[in-house]
Amino acid sequence: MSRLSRALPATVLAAIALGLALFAAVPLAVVVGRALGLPGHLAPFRWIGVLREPDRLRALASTLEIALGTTVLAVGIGVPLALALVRLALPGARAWSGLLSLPAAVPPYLWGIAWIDLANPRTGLLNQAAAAIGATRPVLDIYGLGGIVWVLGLSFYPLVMLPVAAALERMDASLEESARLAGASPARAMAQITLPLIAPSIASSAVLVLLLAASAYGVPYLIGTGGTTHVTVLTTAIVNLINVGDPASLADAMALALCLLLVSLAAGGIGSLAARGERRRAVVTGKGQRPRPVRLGSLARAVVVCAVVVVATVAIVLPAGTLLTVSMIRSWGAGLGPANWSGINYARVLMTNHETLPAIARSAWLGVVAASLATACGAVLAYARRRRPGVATKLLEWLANAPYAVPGTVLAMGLLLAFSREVRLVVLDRLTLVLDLFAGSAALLVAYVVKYLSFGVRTSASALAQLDSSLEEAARVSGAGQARAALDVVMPLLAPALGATWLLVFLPVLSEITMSVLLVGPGTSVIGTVLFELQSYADPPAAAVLATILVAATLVGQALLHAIRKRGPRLAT
Amino acid sequence: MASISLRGIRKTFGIVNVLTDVSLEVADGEFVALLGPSGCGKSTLVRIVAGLDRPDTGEVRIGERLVDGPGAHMPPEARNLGMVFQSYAVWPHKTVLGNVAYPLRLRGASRPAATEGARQALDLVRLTGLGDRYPHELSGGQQQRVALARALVGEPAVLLLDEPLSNLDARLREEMRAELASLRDRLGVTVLLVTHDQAEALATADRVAVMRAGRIAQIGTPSRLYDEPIDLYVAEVLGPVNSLPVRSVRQPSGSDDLIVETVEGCTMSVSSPRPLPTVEPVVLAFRPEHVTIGEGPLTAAVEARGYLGSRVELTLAIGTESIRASVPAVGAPQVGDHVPIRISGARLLPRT
Repeated sequence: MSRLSRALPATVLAAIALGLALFAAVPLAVVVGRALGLPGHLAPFRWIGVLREPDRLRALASTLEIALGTTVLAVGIGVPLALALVRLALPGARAWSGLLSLPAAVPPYLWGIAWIDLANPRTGLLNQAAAAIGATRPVLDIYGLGGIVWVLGLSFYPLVMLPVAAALERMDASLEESARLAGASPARAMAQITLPLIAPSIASSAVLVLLLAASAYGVPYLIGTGGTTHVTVLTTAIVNLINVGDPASLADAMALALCLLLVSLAAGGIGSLAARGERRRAVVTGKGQRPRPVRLGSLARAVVVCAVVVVATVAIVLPAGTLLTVSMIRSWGAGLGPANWSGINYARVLMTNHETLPAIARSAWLGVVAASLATACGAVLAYARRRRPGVATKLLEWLANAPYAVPGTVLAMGLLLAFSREVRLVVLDRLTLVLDLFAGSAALLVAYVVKYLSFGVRTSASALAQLDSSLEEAARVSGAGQARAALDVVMPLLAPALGATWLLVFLPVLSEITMSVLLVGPGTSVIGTVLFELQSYADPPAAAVLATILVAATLVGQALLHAIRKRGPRLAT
Repeated sequence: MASISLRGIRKTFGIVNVLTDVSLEVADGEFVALLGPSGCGKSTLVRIVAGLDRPDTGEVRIGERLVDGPGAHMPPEARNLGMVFQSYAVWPHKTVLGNVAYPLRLRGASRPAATEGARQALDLVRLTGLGDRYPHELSGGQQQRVALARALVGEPAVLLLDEPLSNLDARLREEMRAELASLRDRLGVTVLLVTHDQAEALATADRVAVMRAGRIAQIGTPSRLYDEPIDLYVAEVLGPVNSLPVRSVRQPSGSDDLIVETVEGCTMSVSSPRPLPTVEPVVLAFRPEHVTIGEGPLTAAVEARGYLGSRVELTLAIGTESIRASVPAVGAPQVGDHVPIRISGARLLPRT
């Protein structure tokens, strides 16, 4: 092996390590450090003082209420759906599971926009429909805490449904069958054997929902500030304070960021406990036959089918249809029929508004570059971790995974605080390295890559774990050097996983709002920020146009992902 | 073709001693099997020959070349080897022909030459015409043959087989075993086989090395190992064996034989092993087929009877001990019978 090819991987690893230290560790350290007080005048608990103000305390309480409420709703929908899909022989279960997993693929704020169109008290389509059949007062009001929980819960239930369904499918039928033979009724076997076995996967997915709901920004912003009932949560409070910008507000923002970080750390801690429980019940991952579907009486069956149809309608068909319809209506309030349809909104948003097309282009290229970087760096890190297990690579892997658990608002704030002024590094009195993140879109790119690098590491790591090391060794023994074996055998076999990772990063970046709202500068707006402006101008059709485009892009992306994953099983020979 | 020479190989993984001072010489063209239970270090030894693992100390030579030793390490791709893995490791993204042609391409063959060579190798393992298939379209046995063709196609100096047959069902395994032996006779390649199946080792190898906890316990021809194991462990690895406790041993003057008392009231004459085991405790060991029924100095009660077609396996009680016997099915006794038995070919072996 040449010296270059031996030195290259180490150099790449070192570059990734430096990038992570600079753009993940430093920003977080800055937030935590400044919230606790700078060295010299440490005031460790000053940040608690901020919570004495009732407004701030209310924001923390609202965050916790929304997080818990969303988790309860998502688990309440997700677990029964998983049981219905896997254990009841529903016709077309596979298609149902594809359709029902869509809500989580679309950023929640798009569903939020749809629900505002549907259920705002003055002009909401559902309220109009209710008025048409005789209601004297608006029957639904999306604004407020309940509305936020409703939208987030309907967006996040697939994050519970999918892992629980997977756990149910992995479960060896003999576990339940032996309970039946021991004398348990089907219901008893379900309650005493099946549910305890899948409990860890319910717990760990619930924690993920808790984390996402606590750090959500888009939905609490749209639904919490749009109506007459104002709800402020930690994320929206932090963004408001940063926008005010004076030193006192910034100090408060940092204190709230620390609160948010602690909430997510606590959730993360519970999550890793749940993950440990999942490993302890590794028996669930055993081979064996899929459990037999439970046969239901025709009445019970009809009830279940109805429930599934209702969820699909409320969570997907209704809001997605609303976005599409609203994006096409010529004038609001003149009916929803074809007579009122036109493409004028599309022309208006895409052509007349000079900000839209550049924002779409910027989001697209940021998505391409961020997805490519996160995928490539993730693959390198995962490969290095497998090749050289040790403290250094473990630390790197941790550092790459950690930012995903950090609320986007806190991460963006850290980048803002650490790099809002240009950083000059003078090397040997001669070479001056200037790091100016906030010229152009560099800050956005850095934030996206740091946030989603975790996807790259995790998918590559799990794909590598499935890849029997003898495949690579067979290439070595056949006469291929390490680099050649990686190129000829490892890379082609990883390609489907890498393609899937790329899409998994590209899609959320395309519609990212939480970090973008803090990091866009003048003239660098992205799709998410433009969409929020349109929505704030109370121009629902214009906002619906961009929302529809994003939903369509997501659907195309999901179809691609499905196609890539279908090719996957060739690996398992 | 080349010989393999291993001297003083040691390997530890963390605190586990996987190999402790292993030396082994495999002659040019010889077929040697490494036999032992899982965890005895046999796979690690083959991976060291392949260059996939590096020994902590010791020397590895393939032919005249030092491939591992103090300060020397030749990477696997430079060793000119063929290897069949337990998992087959057939690349799922390449066609059968692509798999088999790959080593030739790496050796610098042109595309047509590599394809031609790969076709010949596929003919050799009787997969003619399956070149365009993908591995997932093949059965386990066929994938195994692809792995074998890929290992042989580059005309390697040494063929390494790491439990190649253990994932096949019993019938296919027997068929492949015969095929391996005939291929090896035709090609004359040096083979190192790792297996935990004693029948596989006995049927295919010129010499068998029985491994135990990171050492070679005994090495020799199959028949020598089967008939003259140095201890009970080796005897057990090579096949079912009975062992009876030994109470006393005496050698009547003027006789080569020993008089051994085992269970109460049961003495028998045993031909004296040379050298006499010096390691205590010793046991009296004999194989089930060494028990004959119908006449003899001992009486045994039939406790259980298993019908195997041509033979019957009996569990016999002698005093408080029970032994297994394998006797012809014709005229075999029933459970509850008391029969006279004779034990021939018993040996005194150290228990360890």
